[in-house]
Amino acid sequence: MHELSVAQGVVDEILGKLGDVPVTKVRLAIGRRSGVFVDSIRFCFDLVVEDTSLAGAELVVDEPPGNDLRIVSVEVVRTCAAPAAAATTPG
Amino acid sequence: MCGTCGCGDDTRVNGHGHEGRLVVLEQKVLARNDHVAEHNREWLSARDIVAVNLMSSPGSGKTTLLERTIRELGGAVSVVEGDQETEFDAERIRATGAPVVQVNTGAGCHLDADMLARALHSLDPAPGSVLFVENVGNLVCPALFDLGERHRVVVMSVTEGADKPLKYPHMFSTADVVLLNKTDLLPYVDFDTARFTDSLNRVNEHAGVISVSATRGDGIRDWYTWLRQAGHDRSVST
Repeated sequence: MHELSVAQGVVDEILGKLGDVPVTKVRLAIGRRSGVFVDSIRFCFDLVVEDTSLAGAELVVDEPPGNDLRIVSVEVVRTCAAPAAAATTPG
Repeated sequence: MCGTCGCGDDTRVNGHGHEGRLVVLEQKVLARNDHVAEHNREWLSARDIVAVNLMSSPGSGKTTLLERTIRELGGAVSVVEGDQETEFDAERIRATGAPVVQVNTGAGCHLDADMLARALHSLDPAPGSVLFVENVGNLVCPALFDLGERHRVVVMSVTEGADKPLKYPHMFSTADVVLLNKTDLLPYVDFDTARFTDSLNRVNEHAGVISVSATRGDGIRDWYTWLRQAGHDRSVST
């Protein structure tokens, strides 16, 4: 059941990059020859995101040929006020 | 660098203001394991230690092969034993006189680079030695996890199906060599050696096959010759 390690690896990598920013969607590429079972990843993902900023995030999995095993992208919710927008406010 | 969310130099954010925004990561899932594995590889290489990752199904004869290899190979050999539970295999290796560390993975189905790093710290194998890592018996999960080894050896016995390389392609495709063990049982089992070789070639064109009987010693010299050629002429004598 290495999928648990893989799912934990996904969460650790994302937390390492983004800190505790709430994440709403995670897109993975899991190659058909990667040796990773997508259904198990889905099951494990829901377990390992509990009590993290990824809790409730939608998991989207692309299944390209080959042995790719990659976090493609995530979607986050936190709004960062763009300084440029503030500067253009008339006042 | 975004001060609010912490997205950094190595992430690309499609337009700032992150509400529902896509953050492109393009990050290998096992990047951390691979990073630790690379450290292990450098550590081993600096000490001229040849690390061999032995992988197979449970019961293929890895430990018996190691017992014989340690007794006959000569030179400094040490072992990291991986199993879910028990010290049984480590005790067998210890009886040969070789330094050994047992790693119990508990619920885990494979060794990872972190586990090997800790085992290396504890074992402290001699410079110029051969280090065997006997992975958890499992033809699926260990294939994914680079430990920092120099060579990957898959052991398969003639009591298993000849089409196993096709059933477990990831494992067999990563092997440098495949040991076909228990050949002393060939007269008693229905094992098609040609079909096995053909199955292996279809997933791995490069891996050679060494037929051995770890209990009786048939073909074992070929295994020692392979080990010597694998890069350790000085401490391996056959």
